[in-house]
Amino acid sequence: MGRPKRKYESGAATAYITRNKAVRKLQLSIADFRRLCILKGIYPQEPKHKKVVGKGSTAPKTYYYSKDIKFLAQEPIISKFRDFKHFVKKLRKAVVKGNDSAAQRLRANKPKYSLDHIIRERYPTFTDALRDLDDCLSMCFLFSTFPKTSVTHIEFIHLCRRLTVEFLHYVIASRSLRKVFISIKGIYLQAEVQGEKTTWIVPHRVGYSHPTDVDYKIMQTFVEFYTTLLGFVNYKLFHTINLHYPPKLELDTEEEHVPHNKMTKKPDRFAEREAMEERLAAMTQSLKTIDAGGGEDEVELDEFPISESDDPDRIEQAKLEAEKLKKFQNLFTGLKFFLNREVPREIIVFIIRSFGGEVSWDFTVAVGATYPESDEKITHQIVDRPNIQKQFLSRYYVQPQWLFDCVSARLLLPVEDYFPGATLPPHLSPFVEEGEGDYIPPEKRQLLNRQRGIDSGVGEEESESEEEELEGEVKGDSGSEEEEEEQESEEEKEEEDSSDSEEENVTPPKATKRKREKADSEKKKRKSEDEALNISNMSVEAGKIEVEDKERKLQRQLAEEKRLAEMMIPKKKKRLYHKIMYAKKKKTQEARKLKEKRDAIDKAAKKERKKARYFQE
Amino acid sequence: MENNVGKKKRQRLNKNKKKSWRKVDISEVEEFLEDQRLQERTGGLVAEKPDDQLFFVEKKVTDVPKALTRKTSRKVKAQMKLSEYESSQQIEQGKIKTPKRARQVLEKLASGKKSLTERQAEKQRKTAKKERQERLRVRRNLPRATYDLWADSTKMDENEDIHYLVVTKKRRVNVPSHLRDKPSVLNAVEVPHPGASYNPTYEDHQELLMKAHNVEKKKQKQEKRLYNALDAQFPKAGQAPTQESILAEMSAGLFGEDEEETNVEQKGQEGDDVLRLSNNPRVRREDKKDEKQRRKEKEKKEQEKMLQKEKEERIHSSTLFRVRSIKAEILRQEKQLLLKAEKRRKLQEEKALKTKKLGKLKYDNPDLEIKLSDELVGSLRELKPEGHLLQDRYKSLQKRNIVEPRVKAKKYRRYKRKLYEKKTHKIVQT
Repeated sequence: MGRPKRKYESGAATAYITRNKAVRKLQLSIADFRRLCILKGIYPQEPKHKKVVGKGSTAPKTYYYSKDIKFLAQEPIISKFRDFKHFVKKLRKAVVKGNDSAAQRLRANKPKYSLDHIIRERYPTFTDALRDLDDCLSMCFLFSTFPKTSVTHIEFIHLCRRLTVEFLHYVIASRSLRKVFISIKGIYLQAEVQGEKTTWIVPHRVGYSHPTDVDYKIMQTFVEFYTTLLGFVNYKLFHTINLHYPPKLELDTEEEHVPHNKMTKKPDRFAEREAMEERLAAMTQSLKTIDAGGGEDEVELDEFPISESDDPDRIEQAKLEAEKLKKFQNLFTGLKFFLNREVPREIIVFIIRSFGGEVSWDFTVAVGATYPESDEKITHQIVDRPNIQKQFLSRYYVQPQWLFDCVSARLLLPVEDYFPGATLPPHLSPFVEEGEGDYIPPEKRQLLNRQRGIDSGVGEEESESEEEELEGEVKGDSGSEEEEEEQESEEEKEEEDSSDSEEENVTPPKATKRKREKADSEKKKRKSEDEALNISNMSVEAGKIEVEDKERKLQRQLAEEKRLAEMMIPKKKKRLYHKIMYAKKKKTQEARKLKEKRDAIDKAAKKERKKARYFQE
Repeated sequence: MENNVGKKKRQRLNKNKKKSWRKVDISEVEEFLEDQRLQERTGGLVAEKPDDQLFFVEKKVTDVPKALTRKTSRKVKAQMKLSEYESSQQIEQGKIKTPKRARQVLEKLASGKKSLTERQAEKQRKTAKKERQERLRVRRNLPRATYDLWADSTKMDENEDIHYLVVTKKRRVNVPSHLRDKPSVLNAVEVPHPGASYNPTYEDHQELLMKAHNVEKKKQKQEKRLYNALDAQFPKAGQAPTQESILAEMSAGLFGEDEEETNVEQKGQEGDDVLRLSNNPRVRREDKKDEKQRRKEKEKKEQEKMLQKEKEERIHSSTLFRVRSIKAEILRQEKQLLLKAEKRRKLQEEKALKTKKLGKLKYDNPDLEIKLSDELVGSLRELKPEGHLLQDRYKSLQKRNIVEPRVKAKKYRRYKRKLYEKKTHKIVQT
């Protein structure tokens, strides 16, 4: 046995090290130490027993793991930091002395370092990198919107801009955008990059003011690391879907557009690259693939023989899911959009293109417009003004929210609610997923119904409820009012008719779903009438193939299975089960209460409106 | 002087000598005379003849110059016509005055000076060009990924690098096991509340407002608590209670008119209390214990101890018959332990969601970004964003234990700056 250890010579007291000590040990300035920690991913720790770690003192200090600092000490970048310190010293001296040639020489030999090995160390596999992309993307998108000021660094701004544009191109090409949410803070986007859900936030385009309480140096160090990471991620992502990595546009018209230098009469390569980058940032063109003409193969789900797999339903379900996803990815395919100049162009172009739509804008707005406003094939024009002077009959004029809501709903919503000047329906968050028995506001319920295909449009519902109301009022009120209300309802009907006729006149490429269903219901009605007539005299009709509703059948089967499973619960666990079910029931009851409240509010509001209208007349 | 330019310089000679006569140049005079004599011989002096004897009118066209062919003449004619017309249309100079403003402009143009806007434009053009060049220079030097970083997934471990081992004779420190762990379980980008939509539903918006309201209420409560504990304890001199006010407050409503008497009585009692030093009963000599008493006490204590021991032994021997109850006890204890463990686990889970204290300062949640009901516009064009994303990102890093909260260090001067008054002017303080 050696000598017994004294107090604070082992355990927690030696496992942690204060920041000051660490800085002294690494022989760096505090700023360099912070930078190194951020780049290497070493974060401060909070010790459990502060008194032991502080060797008797509980003064609040920043601690690190001693092992982490040891690990930092062998990092080759540290020597580069020291080199840079010396470089700055020498340069300052040269500048102050007016020794221009020396300064120039020093500047040319400015020490540089690369972060490649650190990225490899922190993210050993590509999936690790993808998992940590949220922060990276948010930061890069934020920096790409900065102006050049005395505080912000132009290199990082340009770099972030380029990298984010590349990433957006990847999302467009791989059709991996899933969710969009416009909040008052910024625009939240979610994409599924190689199976990993990545959420990031993009700022609204407004004037920039530099916040005072943010340590910009720290943020810049993060961006330095993240730009390197995003560069490598982009490289890998582009290659996974067979695209050139410094991205190339499919329709390469470089030769025509190359601007010439006025002095040398040679093509100006810088200007050329700049123009190319601008066209790339416009995002209207798709990118060139590596295998020319090969195109992307259709990915088919593997077919398993039913007997082999243990659960045939799951395969069926997976197939349905895949089908749905594909439909969603081609949401805007075949549609042609035109953007007015007042809408936020970049984000809208990105959304349209990542669901297969075509888009253009006035060529005076920005580079990259592909067709003019007068193009007859345009189906939708995105407008954010209450009134427009010149309108084409062949297209819908809608507000930008229509696009976002379509993406949230995963289907093309009826455009009527989104006409210019109309009061928009609320923009719901796609990030909220209601559980069983939760309260769902009526707006969301309508949307869910639409997704399921039980489409009861807003107008119909409203008119129905209004009619009910009418009846209620009629009972209490005098006859004269009754007449007026009847007139009103007639007017409404006329309005509806006129809107319908408008639709027909316009002849959009696709008839709206709603209309189709109306027609269906009419057919059904006629049929039932026929049946009523045909009871007595027998007749033979052509047979019809019964369409099997796969989803419904699946649901029924699932319900049956659940019932059976309930029966099999042992007595011991039955109580717990009942408890859970009771909690659920309570929840539903509460939700119902909320719904009733909302209905009452809606009803009251409607009554008010009606009253106001009546007094106006 | 002017006359001398064409002629030869006159030679100054004495003309009274024959020698110098020969030197005078009389060839001009002789030439003239010769010419005149020739004219007289050939039919009179030309200068005296009338015009018609000297000239004749040529009536026959001999040679047409090329410039007057038909094509060119047409052109010329048109030109001439035009010029005639122009000249007829032109207003004689001097008849119409050039307007004042025009004259100013013309003068300025003639002077060659540049206007302010022109100078500004030139400056702007220069800076724009410079900026563009800088931009291009920057872009040229931006780094770009040129290879697949994750191409060979089975890269050699650094500690197996034999060259390094041989040269340095040192093993590298292993990568810490927690390097790839995230410092917090929280997501980097938190999913926003549905009420933060730019066009939210009524319920969601109210919920968000309620949330913000609760936060604010909590803050106010804390502020009030602090105020009560600190500021309220030390009121300002004007509002501070005095001896009289305290007395008046304490005795409010207690006494009627016979105030003075009771006061006197109280004073008397207080005087008595002050005289006594201790509240303990007085110690007297008679109360001292003697030997016998002490012995008895000791014996009593020993007896009690023995009894206690006997009792314990009896209980212990009877535990054999208490197996069932002991078992139950153990079970109960175990249950309690489990409950405790569960509680601890829950606490830990909660702790994982909380931000650690990594430095002097505690992390403070930023204010919730909300729009009041009357600020909602319902149109993307008129939307005014709330909050700053840079701030949001920075706070998020702090929340996830990546960066410790800091405040910007204040710049301070070690010594106060000295002010001198120059003789040339006085500093006027306002």
